Amino acid sequence: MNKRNRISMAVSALLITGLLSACNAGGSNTTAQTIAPAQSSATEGGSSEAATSLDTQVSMAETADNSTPVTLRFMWWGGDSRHEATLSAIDTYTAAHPNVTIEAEYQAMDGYQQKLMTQISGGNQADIIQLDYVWFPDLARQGDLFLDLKAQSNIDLSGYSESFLADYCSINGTLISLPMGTNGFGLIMNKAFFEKHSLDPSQTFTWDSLIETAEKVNAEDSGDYLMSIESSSLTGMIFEPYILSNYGYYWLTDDSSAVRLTEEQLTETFTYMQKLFSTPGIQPLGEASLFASQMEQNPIWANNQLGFTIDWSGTLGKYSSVIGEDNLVVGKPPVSEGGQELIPTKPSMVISVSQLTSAPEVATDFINWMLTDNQAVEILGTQRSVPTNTNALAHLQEIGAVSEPMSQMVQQSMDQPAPAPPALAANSEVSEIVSNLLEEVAYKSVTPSDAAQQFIESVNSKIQELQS
Amino acid sequence: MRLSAAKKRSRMGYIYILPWLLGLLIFQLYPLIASFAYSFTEYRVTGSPKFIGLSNYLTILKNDDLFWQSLAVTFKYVLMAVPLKIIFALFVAIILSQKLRGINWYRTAYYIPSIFGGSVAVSILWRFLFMEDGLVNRILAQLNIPSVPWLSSPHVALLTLVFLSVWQFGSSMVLFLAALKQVPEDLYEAARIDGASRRHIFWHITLPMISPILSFNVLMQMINGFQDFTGSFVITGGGPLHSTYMIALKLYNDAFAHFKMGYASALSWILFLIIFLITAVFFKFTSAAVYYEDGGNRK
Repeated sequence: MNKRNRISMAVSALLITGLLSACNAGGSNTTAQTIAPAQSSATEGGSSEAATSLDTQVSMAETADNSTPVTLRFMWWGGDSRHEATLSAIDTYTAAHPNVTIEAEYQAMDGYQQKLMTQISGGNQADIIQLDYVWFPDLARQGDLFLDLKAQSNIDLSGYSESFLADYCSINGTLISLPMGTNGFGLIMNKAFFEKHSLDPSQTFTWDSLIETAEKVNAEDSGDYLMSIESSSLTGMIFEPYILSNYGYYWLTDDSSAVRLTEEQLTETFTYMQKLFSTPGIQPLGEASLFASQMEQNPIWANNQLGFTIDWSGTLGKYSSVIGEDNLVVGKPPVSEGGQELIPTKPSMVISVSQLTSAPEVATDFINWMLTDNQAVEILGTQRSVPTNTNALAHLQEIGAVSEPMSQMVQQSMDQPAPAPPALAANSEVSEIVSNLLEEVAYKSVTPSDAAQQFIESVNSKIQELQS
Repeated sequence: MRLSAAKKRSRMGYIYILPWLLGLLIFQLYPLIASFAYSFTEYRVTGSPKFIGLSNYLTILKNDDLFWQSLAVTFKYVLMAVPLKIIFALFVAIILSQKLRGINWYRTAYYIPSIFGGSVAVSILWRFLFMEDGLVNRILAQLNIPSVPWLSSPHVALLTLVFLSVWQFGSSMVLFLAALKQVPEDLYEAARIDGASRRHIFWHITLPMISPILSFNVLMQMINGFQDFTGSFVITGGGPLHSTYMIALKLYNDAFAHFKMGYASALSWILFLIIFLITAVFFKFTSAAVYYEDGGNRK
């Protein structure tokens, strides 16, 4: 073999090794990260499970406070400010527990569920995982993915409402997550806009006065819109609130077995929606839909030409960052004349511990610390809406860390909470059917009565398919 | 054991191609086979796949209205985007093949959209340009032309995505440029001496001489067109009223919004089959029209 040959051999060998190690990274990562880094302790060499069981034996009370090194992965989604706060909370925790390393895996919401699902199917999910409760029906198919938190001695459940935990944090009666924050629901309004049109932001609109006011606003300035809702929000922001306020329940039966509304009720609802979206002072749906889940980027919001949108309190930050905190006020969602006022609420996000974790005691100690310890509560603030834990919330309010609009929005939801939505209402296939139909209704490409008939037929048949 | 020189040589050869071979096996062949196998299963990512025979294929063809809708949208898109893009690319290439001052600068400038045209950032830019109050409508307003609902009307939105695709004409243009340079100057000279007009020269010399590249460009653009995703995903999300709901977006939604991997795999094989058939038909009908100097592979 001549010299040149040998060099190219070496180069290709290098390439192969590179390739192989790259392929392997996914697999080796999990073991490397979940097993404690090599140390000269007695448990070294054994699996980390051995290390934890030793933990448990040595000091049940102070699990997290011992010298066996533990590495945990914590995955969440959010924006920059949430990332910074969470990272700083992790630093604080690990400073107090030098044997614990927490590897942060964070990203934006986009693609998070996809990543999580693929990780779960590969068995390499993080130890501590932030979740949206609407994914539970999908996750439930999987059997026991997460620790039963009621069985964990580290978790203090005293600060949570029992019904909230049962409605939003459990699968089949097992508590698999804890709420990180409570989301309130309602109007997010632009004060300057309301002043310009001499409207009172503290009024509660009825569905009819909403249309009248929109017409008035648009007559005063044709570039102004009272409300903007994009098509993927039609279900949660218009359809469900309208039904709740008129009938006091959801469009599905509580056990998710069928459509609860009658054809007449649906026809009436769809007729209203068509009227609403052909009102001049409501931004045309096609325009609004360019800003799906980023309504704050809608230029009319930044230019004070939009009165309000309807959203969850967890999104307040992004709306106020565009128009300024002083320019933002919140209010209750529209009600029906003489109907009941039920305002939706939900956990902003929940947190779970993977069944596969190598150190359940440490992981549960960490999440309990994040949600209840005053120092942690101060660091995390309202980055995940206001804390659901009442003690944590009281502490934040005491130190004045909860903004007025955020407080108000959560309070109005807690005062008149709507019942928890039926499980299948959040199923991606069912909600796609609903959302497609509502879009067709709003664009008037189907008559309300045809849509009502289709609604009942297609939702019921999808439910049967899913439950078979 | 001593290996013969020939054996040694071939072993060396395998080692050299091993990096590529591994990449092919792991990242292309395995997913290809796996998706074929999954297409006969119900596979919800978090569970294990359950064999259900042809049921995915049957559901797609019989019960999935959105499949037919997305297929229609995709065909409309390809039929509009490909010819427009090819004509535009050829037109620009002919201009840029002239001897002009600073011609290299122009060539680079026209190629740039192709480099970042498929990116998310450009799609977002496109959205802001074409919205109700966007730059395009403002320019139209200056010219006293009423504003067009570029992205918000179900009748127009697909056309706006076609523009985005046509704007990325650069790679076709570069190939045309190279082909135009290859046309022997003496053919043009002879034609001019015989008194042929410019139009005659284009139709009877230029076009036949570049026909291999022309057919290659049409084919590649067609295949890309069927798989186009970014524009409809980022700009319109498939809306309004599914008027821009391309089949690649439907595939993505089934796989990553509903997590129906088996179903999405079946859908991707149907898409593959469609592209395969169209390519075969394309070859059959164009082979007679394409001119190869060496006679092509026709015997």
